[in-house]
Amino acid sequence: MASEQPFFDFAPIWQAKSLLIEGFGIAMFSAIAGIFFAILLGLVVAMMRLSRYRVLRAIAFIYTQLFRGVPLYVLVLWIYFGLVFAVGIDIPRIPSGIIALALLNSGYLSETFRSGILAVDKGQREAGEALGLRPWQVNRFIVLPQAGRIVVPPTGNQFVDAIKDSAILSIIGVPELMKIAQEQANMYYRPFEFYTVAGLLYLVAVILVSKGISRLERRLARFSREKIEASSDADKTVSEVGG
Amino acid sequence: MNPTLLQLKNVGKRFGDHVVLSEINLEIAKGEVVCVIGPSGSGKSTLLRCINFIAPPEEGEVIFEGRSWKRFHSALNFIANRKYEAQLPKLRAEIGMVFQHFNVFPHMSAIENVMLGLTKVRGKNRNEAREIAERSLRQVGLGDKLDQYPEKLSGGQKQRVAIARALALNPKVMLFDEVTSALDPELVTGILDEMRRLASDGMTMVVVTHEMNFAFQVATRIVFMDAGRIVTIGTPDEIRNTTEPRARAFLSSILG
Repeated sequence: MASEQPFFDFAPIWQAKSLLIEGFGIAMFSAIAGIFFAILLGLVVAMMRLSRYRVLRAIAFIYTQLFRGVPLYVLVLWIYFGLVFAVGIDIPRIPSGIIALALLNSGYLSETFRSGILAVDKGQREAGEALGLRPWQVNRFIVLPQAGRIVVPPTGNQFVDAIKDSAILSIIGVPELMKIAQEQANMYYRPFEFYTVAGLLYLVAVILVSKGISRLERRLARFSREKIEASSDADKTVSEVGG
Repeated sequence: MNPTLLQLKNVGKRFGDHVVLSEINLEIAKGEVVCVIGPSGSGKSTLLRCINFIAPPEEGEVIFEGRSWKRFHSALNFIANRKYEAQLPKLRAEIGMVFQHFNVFPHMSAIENVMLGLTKVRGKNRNEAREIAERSLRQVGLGDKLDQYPEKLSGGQKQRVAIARALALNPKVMLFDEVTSALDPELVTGILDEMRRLASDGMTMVVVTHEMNFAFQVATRIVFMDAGRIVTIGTPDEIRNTTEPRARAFLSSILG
């Protein structure tokens, strides 16, 4: 007598819950670490793209094109398997995944940051220079804080993407949510249940992060409403962006 | 006559092929108030911005307190140019500037706007800086707005913050770039009075302005510019009675 199989059975989910939670934690950790390094790298690359030196601009341009143009899937495999064979650098699974996420997202974020920096009124930089601040001080105290407010929403979107993209790290065996879900789905032969739960967990994370970002956005918006109309005087002309 | 504080020597500036300034020669003594007038597009603002190298001139030099500032042309002078650029903040710290569009820092309160230069350029500690900034803001009548953010201030108040921000650093000369042009008419007088007060305190000032009454009352000398050149320089009386045709045409079009 074959025992009756229920059509849906979420009991295995409950049995695997600690594994799933752990996987969820690793997914979130990878995404957060990836975005953290992506923000640092993206900022450096954005400053390079705005540099007056052609060489720096060219390097930054190639960097952006490269990491925006290569699929994450390829990047992950290339770092984890490729580098060992090519140069003997053996990076463990989770760091490999984080590096891949950081590189990919830094490509996008550098463009976001660049446009954020350019969106700050030129008069702000001039006012800082006129006070006698050094170029790095103008960036640090005047331009970047204002650009920061502008780039919060797109950076938040990038973070959301990184959370979802972290699922791809399963291909190199990072024990994140998707990998765990796959293993458990196979073990219990319950793919629908496990993938549904995995999907819901990503969804919840994404919704929470989006909420957090828009709250942050509202808090920062309080002091940044001022818009100075563009100068109409023919005497006013472009001055170079330093950096 | 007081000793020369500031001198422009053969200064020229271009944007691409467009020549905006050529052969500018101007000597400004300590305590002078020089008003620069002329039709729009004549290079008045650019001249002002050449003085503190916000718009660095390609030709000529700026001599400030006996020290010459200029940039080198050839790429071979790359290192010399970097060195000169690294020195520019020192020049700018002695020159206060106020802009047409205020350019107050929107992410800082009024007092933080004024404190920034004091702490980062003058190296004051926060307490000293706060004290000086407060005094500076009181002087321009903003003693009750210290912790307000710019978005809560009127145009006139923002411009006062900008003036206080420049004055707090105790500059040797103040540059005013059409500082009342973006203001509502009823706020203009207040800012002009602020500038009159400064002038009578003996501050050296270079003022680009469309306010002819102000220029003729306050200036020690008036510079008339057209098409990127200084056409004529003189005392208000000399300019009022000038026979130079372009200056005549400009003045009669404005004064009627």
